[in-house]
Amino acid sequence: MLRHSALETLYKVGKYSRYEKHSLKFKEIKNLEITQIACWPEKINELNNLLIKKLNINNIPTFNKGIVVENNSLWRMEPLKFWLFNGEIEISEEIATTLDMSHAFTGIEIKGDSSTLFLNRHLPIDLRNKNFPHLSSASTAIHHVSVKLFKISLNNYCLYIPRGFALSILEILLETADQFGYEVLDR
Amino acid sequence: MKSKRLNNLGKINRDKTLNFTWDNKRLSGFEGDSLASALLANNIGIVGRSFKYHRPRGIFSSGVEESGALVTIGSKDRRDPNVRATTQELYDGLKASGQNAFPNVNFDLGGINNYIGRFFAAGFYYKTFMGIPPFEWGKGTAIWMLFEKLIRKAAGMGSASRLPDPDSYEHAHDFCDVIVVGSGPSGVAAAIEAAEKKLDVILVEQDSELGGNQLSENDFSTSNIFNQLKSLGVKIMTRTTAFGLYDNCVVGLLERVTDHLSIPDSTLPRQRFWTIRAKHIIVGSGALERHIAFNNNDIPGVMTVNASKHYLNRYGVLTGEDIVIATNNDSVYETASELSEAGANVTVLDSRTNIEVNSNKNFEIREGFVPYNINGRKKIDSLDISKSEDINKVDTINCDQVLLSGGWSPAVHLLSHRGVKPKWDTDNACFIPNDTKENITMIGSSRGLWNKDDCIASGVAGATDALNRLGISKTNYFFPKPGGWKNPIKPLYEIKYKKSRSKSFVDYQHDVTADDVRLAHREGFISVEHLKRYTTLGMANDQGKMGNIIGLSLMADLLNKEIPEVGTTVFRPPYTPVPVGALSGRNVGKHFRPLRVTPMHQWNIDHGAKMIEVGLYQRPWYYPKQNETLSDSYIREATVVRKTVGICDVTSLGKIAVQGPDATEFLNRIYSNAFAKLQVGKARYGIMLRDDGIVMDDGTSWRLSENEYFMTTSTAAAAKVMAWLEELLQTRWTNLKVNVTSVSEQWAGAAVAGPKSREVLNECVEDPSLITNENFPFMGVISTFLKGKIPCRIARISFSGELAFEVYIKSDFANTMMDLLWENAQKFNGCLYGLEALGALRVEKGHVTGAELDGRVTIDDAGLGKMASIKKSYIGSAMRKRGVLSADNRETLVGFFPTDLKETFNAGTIVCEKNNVKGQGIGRITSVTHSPELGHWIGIGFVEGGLDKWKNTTLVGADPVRNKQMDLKVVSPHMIDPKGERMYA
Repeated sequence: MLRHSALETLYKVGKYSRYEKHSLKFKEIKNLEITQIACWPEKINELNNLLIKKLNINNIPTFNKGIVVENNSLWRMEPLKFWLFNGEIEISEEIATTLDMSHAFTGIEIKGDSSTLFLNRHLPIDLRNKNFPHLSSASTAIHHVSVKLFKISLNNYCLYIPRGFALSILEILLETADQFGYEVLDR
Repeated sequence: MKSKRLNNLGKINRDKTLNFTWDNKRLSGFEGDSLASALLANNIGIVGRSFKYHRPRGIFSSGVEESGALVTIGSKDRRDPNVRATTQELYDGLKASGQNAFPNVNFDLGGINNYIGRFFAAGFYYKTFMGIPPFEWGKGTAIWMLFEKLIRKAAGMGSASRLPDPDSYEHAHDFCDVIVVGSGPSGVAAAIEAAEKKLDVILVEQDSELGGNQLSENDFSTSNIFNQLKSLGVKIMTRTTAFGLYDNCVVGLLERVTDHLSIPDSTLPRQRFWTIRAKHIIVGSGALERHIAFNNNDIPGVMTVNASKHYLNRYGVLTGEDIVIATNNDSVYETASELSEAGANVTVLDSRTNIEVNSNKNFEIREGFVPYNINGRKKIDSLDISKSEDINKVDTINCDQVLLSGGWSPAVHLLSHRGVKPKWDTDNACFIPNDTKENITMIGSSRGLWNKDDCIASGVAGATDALNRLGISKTNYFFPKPGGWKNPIKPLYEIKYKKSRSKSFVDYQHDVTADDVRLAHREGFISVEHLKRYTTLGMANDQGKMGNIIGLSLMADLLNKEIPEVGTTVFRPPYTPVPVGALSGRNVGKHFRPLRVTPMHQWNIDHGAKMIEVGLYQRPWYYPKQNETLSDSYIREATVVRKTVGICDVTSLGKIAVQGPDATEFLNRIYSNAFAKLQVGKARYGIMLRDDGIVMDDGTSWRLSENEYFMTTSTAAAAKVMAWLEELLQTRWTNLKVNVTSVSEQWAGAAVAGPKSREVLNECVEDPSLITNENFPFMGVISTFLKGKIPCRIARISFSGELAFEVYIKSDFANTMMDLLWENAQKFNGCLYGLEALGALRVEKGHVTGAELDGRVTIDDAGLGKMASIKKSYIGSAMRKRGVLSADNRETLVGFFPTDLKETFNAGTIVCEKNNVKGQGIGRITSVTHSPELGHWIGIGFVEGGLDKWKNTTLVGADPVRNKQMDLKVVSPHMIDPKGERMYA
């Protein structure tokens, strides 16, 4: 089934730079799949064991950290809340509730040499590696809009913006990106 | 003053000539020049007119403390007033002009003020224009408002462009272990020491070049320290001013990104507003040389000594030919020697006697002498001098420049921002920084060190202090003692002129004289804070950089106290001006607020919607057909909905997933009506009260399964309700197993309303049998599929009063849903309808929204008292029973018709009794519309006692804002289909 992107009117694939430099790359994450898992406090150990078993992972990420396993990933957004990407999971209501959030956010990959510098034009988050290592996440805000930022690897981030604000936020991001030179990649 | 460019000195790039204009006159300079140095190189002496007296002013300094050369840069939409020529880098094509002068700074009609200046003493405006003497004519605010406009035109600085700013600005954030402010010898030493210890270091320098005061040294090269710092990984930020220190080691920086460029890169912001979060701040902000107050000490050609040295060695400009240097300290002698070597005829007046000077003495030194009076009007003709111990003119020296050094004031402004009061150092006649428990260390001349070796040692000590405070090391260190001159400074602030009329300036920028300070004292404004505000000494963007100490010394003298007893004012951010554009960043124009759109935003526009802002949302307002006005359009849309069917984007409603075994109990506690027995597959309209018993919000909750609900809220209260639910779960009912999550963005919604709505849905769903009246009764909920196997949720609920449904679909499928609904609605001559028609329909039906539920209304006031359960406890259930909330005469929801049905009225109209139209009346109209169904204007609102009290009485609607009155009839708020037969059809 065709999913319509929130960025449709602004997402123009191509290279944009006055100086032939493209130190930023943007790519919308297509067919985003997010399942929120919200655990009851006394059931966290049971949930941990379940996730380890069902997702075939070695350990549970700590708060604001994530684990990437083959095609899916698990991120601990709050002490008792996880986001599972690209995976379905059945969990008893006695342990946790699950909720589909796939359409609630627009995901954009932001990579390139200038990505950290660029993101700090908007985010008051210390993105230096020692404080925000790979597979870290943060709930923060761009232009007063609450967003989630994931660091996948060095200068490689995923930004999740509430869908209704995504167009407006992308527009302001691209204005900032202009000084670095950027490329919008095919989805 | 005869200033000129020298060929053998300076660090400018003589291979690159830059052309610029000054007051439309074509001039040239070199790359590396400041505007001030280029003006001096072209022997431009007068660069401005003073704030109040319009006295001609020249260039006083070479840095941010400049208060004479405030000029206007650029033109049209890029016109910037009050730019310091001393900090403006020259670029090709720069247009600069003097300000506060007509027709120009060389000949200014406003100069008349100088001759009637005795009337413009401190407090003149307040004394005179708040009631003109001798009879206090026109006393009061009105007369002041009148004169204020004239005064503001006559006095002041330049004028800003009225055109929209074409440049962009941006905010930025950075983080480091140590930020070092200032790249003088101490700052560089601190940065190197910290970087060598593997700390993340940011070095900030307001100049375009590193070096601080060393840039005034002939043999100094910036490239060596630049390379060393770079090799250690120090992040160097030039053209960047630390304008303020804030809590938790936050430093505010302003980076001037393109202000120095002839043709700015359009992709770059003009300026960048940085917020730096550091673990430790090291401030090496230097010291500012003071002038001396004496008569006519502002004539063009007066300058600080160190500034002259900068112009000489950095820019290759000799600022005068016959130069008199007046001082009370040792710092001037090297400059005197260099100026002399450069060809000037130099005389030094030192107020001290028996001093020891390390100099080849190629100039005359007159010990025990001070400047007394400058002769000249637009330029210096000569200087009268006096003996320092007996103030009287004893001699006159012909000269074209007077350089002043009345001592040095450490730039303690940034530390002062943290509330740290500086302490007076008597030996060095200056305020030096006090201790602070915060992670801030002052180094270099900003802590009162006057020689380079001490500054470097203090930089290393500062970095060690940072390492110790961060717990990285425990190394002993010491800071050199303040001072460093061979001969002690002798305080010298003012040389009092013996004649009656004196213009002895303390604060050049605000035309504050020594006599103004004395006047303030006479009139009782003896506190430094009162002195500042009464005289304007050290106010605005000057922040006392040059004149503060002199003003304090004069007040101390008048009070027969010492300077520290008088105290000092608090320096406030910003240290140097921060343009409003930089404060705004990118949050201007269309980005003033983030724009929120529904998933079918573009679909709506493509189908002819005119949009309206509703909070942050853009919502369809109306869908005009050719030549239709708003009224035409919404009346047509509402009529079509009542007759056939309409489709409306209702995505902006708040949507919250309520999940968990205790979800039912949770809803039962927050809603006033019963939810405990709501069946799966049913929705219920609910009213939520605040703790105080007032209505918070309304909406529907759909029971999707045993333990899962889909709650809708009003658009306006979505965030508030979400936060409220979270608060309840996290603080009051921590034992409830409930998760609440905003799913407002996950789901897109459309209302399908009108007698044909069921038929439209029949065409759109995979299984039409689900939509029959029997299978899908009023307030029923189904989860099913739209054609194409698109999962959706449908509730049979109605805001319009018609048979209606709300269809929700995952947001990325919203366009598909709209295509499907619209395609089938057209088969029944349906329409798309917007917010205006939605409002008309709900007013006809008497449904309330935020306009009615405005935070003052109880559930009974809204006519929904039957929904307040008496069998259970819920939020607000106790407090709603307070007497004041259940009084008989409370304003209650009613409908209003104009008695004359041709009349119109507006929301906000005050409802009054006949012959008693005054005050707040007895009620108010909250929402109005033209009713397509009834054919005239209708409204809903509140009136004391409600319908029963007034149903047979004519009331008056008073609209004082529009100067309008009309007779009103009170009717039931449910103006169409009061029994709900259409909804249940």
